[in-house]
Amino acid sequence: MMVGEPVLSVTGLQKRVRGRLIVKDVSFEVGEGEIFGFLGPNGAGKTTTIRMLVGLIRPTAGIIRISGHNLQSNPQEALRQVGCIVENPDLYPYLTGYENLYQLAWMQGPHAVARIAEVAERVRLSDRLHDKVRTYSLGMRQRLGIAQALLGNPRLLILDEPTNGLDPAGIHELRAFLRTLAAQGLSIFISSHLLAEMELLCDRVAIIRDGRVIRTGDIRTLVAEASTDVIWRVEPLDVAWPILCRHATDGRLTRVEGGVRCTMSDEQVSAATLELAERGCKLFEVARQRASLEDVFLQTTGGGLA
Amino acid sequence: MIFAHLIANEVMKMLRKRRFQVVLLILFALMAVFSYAEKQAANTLARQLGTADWHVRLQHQITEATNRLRSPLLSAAEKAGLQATIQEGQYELAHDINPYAPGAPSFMKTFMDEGITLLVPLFVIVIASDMVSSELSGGTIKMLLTRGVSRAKVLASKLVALVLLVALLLSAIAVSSYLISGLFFGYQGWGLPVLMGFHTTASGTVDVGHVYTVPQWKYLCMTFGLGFFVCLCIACLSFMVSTLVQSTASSMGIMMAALIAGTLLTTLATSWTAAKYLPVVNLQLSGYLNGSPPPLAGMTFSFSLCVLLIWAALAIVVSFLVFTRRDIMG
Repeated sequence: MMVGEPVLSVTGLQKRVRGRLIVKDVSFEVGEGEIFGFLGPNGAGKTTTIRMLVGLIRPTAGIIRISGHNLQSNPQEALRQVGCIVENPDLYPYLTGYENLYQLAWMQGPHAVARIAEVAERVRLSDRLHDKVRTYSLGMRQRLGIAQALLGNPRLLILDEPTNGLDPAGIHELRAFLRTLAAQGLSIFISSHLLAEMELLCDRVAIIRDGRVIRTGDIRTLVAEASTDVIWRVEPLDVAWPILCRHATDGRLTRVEGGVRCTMSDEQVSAATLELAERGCKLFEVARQRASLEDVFLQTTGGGLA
Repeated sequence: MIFAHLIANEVMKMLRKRRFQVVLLILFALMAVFSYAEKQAANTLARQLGTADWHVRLQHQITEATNRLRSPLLSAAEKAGLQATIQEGQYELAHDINPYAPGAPSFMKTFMDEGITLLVPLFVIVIASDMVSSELSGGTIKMLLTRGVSRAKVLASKLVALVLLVALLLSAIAVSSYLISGLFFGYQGWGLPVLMGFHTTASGTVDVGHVYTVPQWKYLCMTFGLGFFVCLCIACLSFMVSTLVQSTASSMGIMMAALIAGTLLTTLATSWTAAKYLPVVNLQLSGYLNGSPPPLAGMTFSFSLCVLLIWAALAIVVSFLVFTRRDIMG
């Protein structure tokens, strides 16, 4: 999946605050053009990790590399590759949208100033750009925040809970926008506790719990692994019941609407189908229940989703 | 290059905030009120004395000071103050110098001499307290620190911007006090002689051996220069508090409390001499010019300068140490 050097690589990250380890062991890599989801319940260490990624918090141990630049030893160069929104878009309400962009662009040099109009156009804020930010809606602030993050022409976009407070239309729009950016080669690191969101957006995810990354992987693989349940519509049920029971992983069947449900691997399903046919059962439907990311999450974290 | 841009950003942010505009408005209103009050006071006094002749008024003041000097309840500092008033008055009478000559420059001189202990520092605090803490509480600090510019540079740009803003504030004070008080007193009086070289010790002896006069414009240059220095010191201290405290309100509160406590100290605790090492006790630098006795024994012009300088330097060092190391948590 990854070509060449990862845009973001994190190894053995730790953070101790007042003797307590908040982030215990976080490692992952984000490749070019990849949308990487960082999932975990509130309080798992997501925000602390993100703040370490952008140099706001100094890690106790571990190495962060952005485009090959070590964040600890060469923070300026590393951070020039990054655009970020940490928690909320950080804006000066008493300035206009344009002035907010100008402030940041001015910090980064003339190349960023030249990009203001283009970036504003991309987040579709051009017509309200000269109004005070105080008058902006939450969605507009979010878009302005993204415009700020894109000003420096970053290789990596870091977004912390970007869908917080957005309405469904806003979320949909954001998702489409991020997809476009990724298609153009930008890597996106995005944290969230809203699993359904991430499932629609991310290529890969890392799941963090209690300060530790407990799963990392391609989202389709993770979901497939968690999709263990099969629903059978078969008649007559009294003949089929003991057969299915024998083939099920845990030997248990439950009645659900429109059939019976059990946990089976693909091999078990094919073996059971053969035997049902031999015994003259009529098989109408065998459907594997597609697990959601939420199911993956609950299986790996053992519940307790805040 | 980038550093200059950072400074421009900071100045622009402050000028666009209501805060600075409100400070200026208050300043203009105060100027008008003070001018009016001073004009009224002069009128009333002239009516009471029956004449507008300044010789009579000055003689009257000297007599009153001499009478008060007999009171056994006076502290050494108060005695010194009265002594200085008497000696100055006699010198002025002898050399035919009118200390009450009205005019906008005279008002500027009084405003700066009196305002530098409390009023002007308050304005400085209102501006300086906001510099860092507003970014901390507003979250915008996260944007500033994740743009690939070093933290020391970001903080230094804020400090330089603050120096510029303090200069702007003092210019505003100079211009507005001249323009507004001129409406009441007229705009003449740049060349009036001002007495210099009185040397009053805290024990009450006054040395008139080296007294000379300078034109008022020259005195104003000196007093505004010293005022600028004092304001910078206050600004540095507020700046430090502003980097240490997340909320603008509490950082402003802390500095104002310290300032007012210092002013109280100079009047109440004259026997506690260790107080002379506190910055807020050393604010009246122009007092050394016009011969007012120092608030506490053992204080000289260079002593006060050094105390202010050391405190300001310490404040800057602490600000940088804390700001470049701190974790920006939620």
